[in-house]
Amino acid sequence: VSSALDRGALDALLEVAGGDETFVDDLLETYLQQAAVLLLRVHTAVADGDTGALNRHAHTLKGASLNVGANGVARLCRKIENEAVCGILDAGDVTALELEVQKVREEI
Amino acid sequence: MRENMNEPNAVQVEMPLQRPILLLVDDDRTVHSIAERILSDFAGTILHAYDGREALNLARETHPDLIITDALLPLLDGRELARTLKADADPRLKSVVVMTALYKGARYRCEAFREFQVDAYVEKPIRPERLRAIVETALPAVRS
Repeated sequence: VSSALDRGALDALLEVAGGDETFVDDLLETYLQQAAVLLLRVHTAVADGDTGALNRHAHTLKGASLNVGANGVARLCRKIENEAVCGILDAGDVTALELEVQKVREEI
Repeated sequence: MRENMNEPNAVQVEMPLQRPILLLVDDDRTVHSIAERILSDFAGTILHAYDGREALNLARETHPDLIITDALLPLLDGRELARTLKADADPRLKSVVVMTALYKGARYRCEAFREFQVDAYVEKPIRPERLRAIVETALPAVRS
């Protein structure tokens, strides 16, 4: 079963925090809260047909996801970002993104 | 730590902030948490801004020594922020560093350096040793 979170990235964060697991837990909580807000913005951008906003929000979520090792979320964000640059808005991608964020939430 | 001093009518006084001042700008809050942890023994003040406009106001009020900013920011792009602050020519500002996952090629790095006047560029996600090196290079008197 593939993991939604890269253990290597989490271990690297733990190292940065000097072994402080509370820091990593808090960071993951911050990430989830931020991801929820960004998902809402992604939805709004798709509903509005605003590819510029879609690109920006997917980009921000991608960066945050890479920071915590949510690589599946980051991959989908990159796809959405690239498509948005080409003027493509795919609601199916957003559904897949939601499911992937949900996988991360369950894993945390 | 966040110093909220971007009220439009803020009194212009010298702020009692310990120098050097590092202004970190990113709309991604995980970046702020990680960077602050990496620089936990930074011997100065770390200020935080979450969009380009807030960063511009905060920089003009507090005169940071070093700014590390994301490229894509709400309200004001990080590269425009760099260009605007460089045009201000504040002698206290020693370096503006842009961090991004955008620039992967030499051509884009040249754009960052020439057009937007940034002093250094760092790819995301940020590596601890890279961030420490940036701070030590920009502020050699301060070992974080």
